[in-house]
Amino acid sequence: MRTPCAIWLLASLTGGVAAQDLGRARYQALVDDYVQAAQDYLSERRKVFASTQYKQLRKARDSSGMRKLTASVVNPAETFAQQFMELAKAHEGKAIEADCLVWVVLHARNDLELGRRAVQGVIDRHINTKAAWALSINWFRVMPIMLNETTEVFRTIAERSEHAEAVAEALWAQKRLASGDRNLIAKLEARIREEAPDSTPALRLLGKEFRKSRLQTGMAAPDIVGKDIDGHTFKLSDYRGKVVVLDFWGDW
Amino acid sequence: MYAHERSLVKRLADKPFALIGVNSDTDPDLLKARIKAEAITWRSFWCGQGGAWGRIPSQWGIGSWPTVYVLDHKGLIRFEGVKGDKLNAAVEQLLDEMDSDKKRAPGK
Repeated sequence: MRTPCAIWLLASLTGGVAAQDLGRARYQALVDDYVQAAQDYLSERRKVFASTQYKQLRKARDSSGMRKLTASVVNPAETFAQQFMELAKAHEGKAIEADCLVWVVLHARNDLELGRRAVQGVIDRHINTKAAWALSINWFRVMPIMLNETTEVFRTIAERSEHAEAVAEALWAQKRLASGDRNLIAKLEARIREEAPDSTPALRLLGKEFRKSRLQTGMAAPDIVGKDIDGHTFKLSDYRGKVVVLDFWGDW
Repeated sequence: MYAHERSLVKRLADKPFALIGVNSDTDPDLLKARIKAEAITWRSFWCGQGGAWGRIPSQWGIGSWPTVYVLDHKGLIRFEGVKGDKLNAAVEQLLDEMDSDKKRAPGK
């Protein structure tokens, strides 16, 4: 048994620990178990991609066969999503519920009913929190769940949320979903600039201009101040005096 | 997948060189596990749950991933979008330039 599970069990047995702490420990235990399962899943998928059978299917351009073969390795996210939803139900209205609902939206791709319940849960009970922001900035994860109701989700967040970054990202999401409606896009961009000038979407609107004016060869690189994955703050300028390869990357 | 970065970092371990990432994964727990599994030793800014839409890539106008910039020791952008052998050559060139600068200005 790994440590988080043990902490959760211990907390359950002692009985003196608040329900919130139990929920948080259970949440972390689920996350840790998922991370292990996801790594196993990624490893199995890599084996499939490297297999002779897959290579032959790819050579024959048999996309249906390739899909069937990769589908034989089951993504554990769906199973875990059920457990996160159960945990959410046990902590309705609390921060743990919000975290669980966001987890489901970001990870579960195939169970649309579960995904819809998660999105609705955020709208109903956590619209003023970071959960509404997480949904909005990940609008492309919400889209395959909510289909033609997606825009309405972000319209609701933009109109009702008191979380400034959530509102800004919800406006941005609507812009991305506006499918070429230039008038609407212009209105949404104007709202972002006027209502949330310091927000990330406002920066995003200036991104192309920033590249032209600040990121050309020969220019001094703008400093970056941020946190690493362990939460420690550092700066790009800490590395002045060294040759630096700055790599924008993702393991996706 | 990370073989080139790993070899670059290892080969230039005793040089004035740093590989700095700006990471766009949204799941911090899974990312930590992947960093360990792939022996990624270099430091990255984490863009948070916003991932590729986070504040740093938004400000820098990053439209495609991966994107690479190479900076010289003065902090100037010298190359963009180089990879493979061209990336190696760019780094070597800038290390040589740095060496030449030092030789031209002894004692500084």
